[in-house]
Amino acid sequence: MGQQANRSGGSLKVLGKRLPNLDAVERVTGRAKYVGDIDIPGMLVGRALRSAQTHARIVSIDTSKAEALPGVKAVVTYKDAPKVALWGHRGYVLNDRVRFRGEAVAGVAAVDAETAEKALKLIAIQYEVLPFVIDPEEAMKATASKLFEDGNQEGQARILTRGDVAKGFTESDKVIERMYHCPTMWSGSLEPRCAIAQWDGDRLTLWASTQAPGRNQDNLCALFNLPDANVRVIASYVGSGFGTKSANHMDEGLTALLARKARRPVKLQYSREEEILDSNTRFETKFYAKVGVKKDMSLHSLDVRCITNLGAYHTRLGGLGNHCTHVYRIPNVRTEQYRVHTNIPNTGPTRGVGDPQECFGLESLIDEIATEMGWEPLEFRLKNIKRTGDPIARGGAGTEDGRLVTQVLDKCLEEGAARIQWSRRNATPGAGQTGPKMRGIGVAATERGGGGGQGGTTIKVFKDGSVVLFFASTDIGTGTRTTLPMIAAETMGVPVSSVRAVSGDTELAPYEGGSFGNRTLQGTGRAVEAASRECLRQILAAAGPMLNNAAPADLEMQDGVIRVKGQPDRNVALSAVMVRRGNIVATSITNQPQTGMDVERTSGAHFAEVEVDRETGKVQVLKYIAAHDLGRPMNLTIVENQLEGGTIQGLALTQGEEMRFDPRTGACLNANFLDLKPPTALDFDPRMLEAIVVENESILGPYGAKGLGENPTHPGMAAIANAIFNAAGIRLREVPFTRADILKALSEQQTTPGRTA
Amino acid sequence: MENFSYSRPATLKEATAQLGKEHGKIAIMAGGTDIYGGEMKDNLLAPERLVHIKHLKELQGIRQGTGSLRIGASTLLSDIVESPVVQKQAPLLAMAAGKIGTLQIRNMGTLGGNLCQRPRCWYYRNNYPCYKHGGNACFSAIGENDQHAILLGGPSFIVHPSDSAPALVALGASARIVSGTGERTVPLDKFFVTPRENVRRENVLLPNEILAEIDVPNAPAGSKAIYVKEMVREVWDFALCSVAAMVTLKDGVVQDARIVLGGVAPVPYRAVKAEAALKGKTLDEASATAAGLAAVDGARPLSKNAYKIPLTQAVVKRALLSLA
Ligand SMILES: Cc1cc2nc3c(=O)[nH]c(=O)nc-3n(C[C@H](O)[C@H](O)[C@H](O)COP(=O)(O)OP(=O)(O)OC[C@H]3O[C@@H](n4cnc5c(N)ncnc54)[C@H](O)[C@@H]3O)c2cc1C
Repeated sequence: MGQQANRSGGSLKVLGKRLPNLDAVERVTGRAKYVGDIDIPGMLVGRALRSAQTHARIVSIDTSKAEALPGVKAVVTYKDAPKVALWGHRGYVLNDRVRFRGEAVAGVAAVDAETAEKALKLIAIQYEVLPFVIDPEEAMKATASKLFEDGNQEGQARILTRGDVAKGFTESDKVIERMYHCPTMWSGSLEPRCAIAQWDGDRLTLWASTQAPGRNQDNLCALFNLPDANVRVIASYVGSGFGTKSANHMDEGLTALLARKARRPVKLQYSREEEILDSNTRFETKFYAKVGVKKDMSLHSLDVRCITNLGAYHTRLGGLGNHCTHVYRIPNVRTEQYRVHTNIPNTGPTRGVGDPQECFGLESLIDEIATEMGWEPLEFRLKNIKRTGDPIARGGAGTEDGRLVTQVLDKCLEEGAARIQWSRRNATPGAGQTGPKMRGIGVAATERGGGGGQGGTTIKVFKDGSVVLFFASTDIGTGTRTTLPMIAAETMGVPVSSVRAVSGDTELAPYEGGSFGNRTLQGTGRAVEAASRECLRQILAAAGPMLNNAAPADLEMQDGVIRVKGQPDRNVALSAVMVRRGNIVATSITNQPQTGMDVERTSGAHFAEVEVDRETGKVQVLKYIAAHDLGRPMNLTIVENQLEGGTIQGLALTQGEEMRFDPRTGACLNANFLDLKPPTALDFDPRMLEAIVVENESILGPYGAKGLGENPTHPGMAAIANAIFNAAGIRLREVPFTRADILKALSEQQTTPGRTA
Repeated sequence: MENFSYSRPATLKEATAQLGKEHGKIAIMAGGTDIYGGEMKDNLLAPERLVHIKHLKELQGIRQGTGSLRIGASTLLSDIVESPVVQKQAPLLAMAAGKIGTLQIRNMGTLGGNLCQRPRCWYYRNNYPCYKHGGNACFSAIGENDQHAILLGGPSFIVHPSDSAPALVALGASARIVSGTGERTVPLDKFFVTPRENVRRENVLLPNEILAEIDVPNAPAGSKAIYVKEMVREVWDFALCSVAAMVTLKDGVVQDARIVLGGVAPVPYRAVKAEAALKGKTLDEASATAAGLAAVDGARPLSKNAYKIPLTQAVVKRALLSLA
């Protein structure tokens, strides 16, 4: 296979090079049309009425005054909403019940924003107020106010076991128990949600800022009982997603409902506050963990109970990914997770989903047990991590029925350690430093699936040789609109400049689940490679007769010129072939290729050097190394961009960013950028951050590539917590690490002596 | 936001003539970064009329007074930061103003607006029916209070948000206040009022008065000053705690000290005990530490803000040591 040839040293022309995003100029000059920029003649302005109740039943809702207001074209309430639950969600587009403060209870479409807002005030709602609960452990109690008839727990506890943890603990030489807490956190999307719906009879077009046009299409078909062929979702430009736009959300359905009732196109754009309160936020986790080790430095038993605060409606995901089962060789593991509904805003997948939270818990715990035993934490990790050839579970069960391949976590740890000069760290945490500023170094390891799953593309080669790539995946800042054309250019042998991407359109391209979970490059990327190969096959077949009937196998294409191998003078331009051949169209749909025993994952290790100010509690990151396995890099510029952006997004969670809820009303108090405290460019100086791409090749992805987008957000919280411990000898088990937490821990430390590690 | 009428008077006299007898009904707008961008957009306030005063020539500019600078209330914060005369005669003010918000905020916001801005308490900003809104509770007292007052709190526990205020109080500035019927001058440390004096307002301005000018005495000869501000973020953030410190030294001995804290009390808090502790001392680790301790003497933390005590101590100590 040509692909193999390329892998084993065959020189790549396009891939592996640095290329700026092909649409960067469009984006930064404002020419790129995001959904908010799209204007359709006759389009109405949509607005949602948001409840000031935290938990309540709607007794009555009167929209007559709003409907009578001149300029109002449609008002919808739960009565108009189809009784079809959204995917991954317990609720309908609108519900007769309010389960979090800020939940939409009605929608209005009007000729302008002022009229729409006036109309919202004219909607009269009578509520029966219910007691609310915002703490997930409180919500698990029998006496807690119930959000749903079957209680607050989503399904059964998910339990995964390997070996026997109880026996494992009795066999262990040391056992410790800890709890780690991550709060509800904003998901980080800079472009607030926005949707435009336009009906043409029973055909619906929805422009949306989404990561998953295919899922939106499925959802709209279900809501309105329409055939797939009647619903088109378009997401050409998306101003970031971070997972929050990967699940269906009520705003898409609400916009479509309003447009149908008004018989005119409607645009519904969220304000910043709405975006924070009613998108899908990163869920809170309480991670209770118990770990046992043997004197020979081996991890022996791990028991984790994780409680996830799903918020009002989310159903799909829990707070545990695979860190507990996949990073280390541990004979006895048990994980138990409870997914609980509470009256805080809806949560959902957010970059890394539960992995950053799980990584924080596990990687802090690993450091803590190493400290207890007086072991050097990096050495302890290297002794226990899974390496290529180690057994690993293939599916979601505990049994290790597969074999880990292409794993380079050891190299991530070793190369990262070398770069940060690990030996500089304090042998005794917090000791031997004079003055108020204490420095220390910490590490955290991570892993994740490399992507894959169903992907598809249609490629069209025009009669002049120019190429368009149609795919339903979206470019959410991940560079997909650049990387995928590079794969096509490489495979076919045409210049990148002749390839254009049309992304995020469900009508033009094969179905695709969405751009999330590290999957676009390995899913859609492989489809692009396959379809490009098919185009090339047809091109070479058509070129043969123009080159003295050369056999296609003897031909190659480079830079848009087809020539006989070894005889560069015998050539013909692609355009000359295509003029005679006409268009070539090829479609490829790929599926999850992971078969047999082999399990391929990705991995990474982060190293942080911090300075803790003993007097002010301020933590400054001085140096940060993010070493990652991503298979073969397709475009180093984009890879570094993903590594840096993801890393800083992970670090943001340590500094102060957090959604805060009032214990007495359940309201989010800080749904704005000033009070939520997302970091600014001055908080994490990009110059302190260094990304290392660890050399590796995937067996699954196109040209040896693995997925990458999520992993860099995982280790930040743990790496910083471990570095703070090394600097100051204080252990922080709750995110974010505020001045209050640090100064309190330092003052309590005065009374307890330091330990060695 | 509700509809409102807007007026753009041609003179200060015209402006004062338009003001009413009640706070909130007819409101003054300078840069609008707080009253419009904050209070009105967040529906905390719905005035019938906004009287714009930013453009008024009488309220703009930095002039030499006798032994002082006279700064018009509508002078832009960024003009103050960049002004060579302010940097020379009142560097403390330039430093403090430079720490306000972001460059965008300083380019739009005015000095008068910065002194008269409303509290940033989350409960106030989320329109809870608190004392500041005419209710009879302070929700922070048993709620999320990590940013609230440790000194002079009660019945409301807001902190005064202004960065320019501590610097101006330290410099001994005074406010010239104009109304339709006349004018008065109030020393800035009497301009701000504690919740015990008036729980609904943060200063002495009456509804029909405009803050016209700030008179800033030249920093005393031989004095040195610094403004230090601690924030969660490096920028675009209000103070967790700040200090405006000014000392006059002679042969290394403190002749006079002004220490004014921001972010810890409902008013810019003059730490007189710390000032007294320094007088006659050489400025060193011991005296600076003692001043830090004295600065928070009497502090009464709420459930989540005790960290402000050691933080303030450290900030005061460091500010002073940097002047030694
Ligand atoms: C994102 C953000 C960050 C910020 N960060 C900081 C910070 O770090 N430090 C800080 O100190 N401030 C900060 N601020 C507050 C900012 O400095 C003030 O909003 C600004 O200084 C107000 O000036 P303005 O001219 O825009 O006032 P306006 O918004 O026009 O008015 C503010 C208030 O003062 C009254 N007022 C204005 N001028 C007069 C006058 N001459 N006489 C009587 N009353 C008057 C108005 O009626 C109103 O109540 C921040 C604000 C924002 C929005």
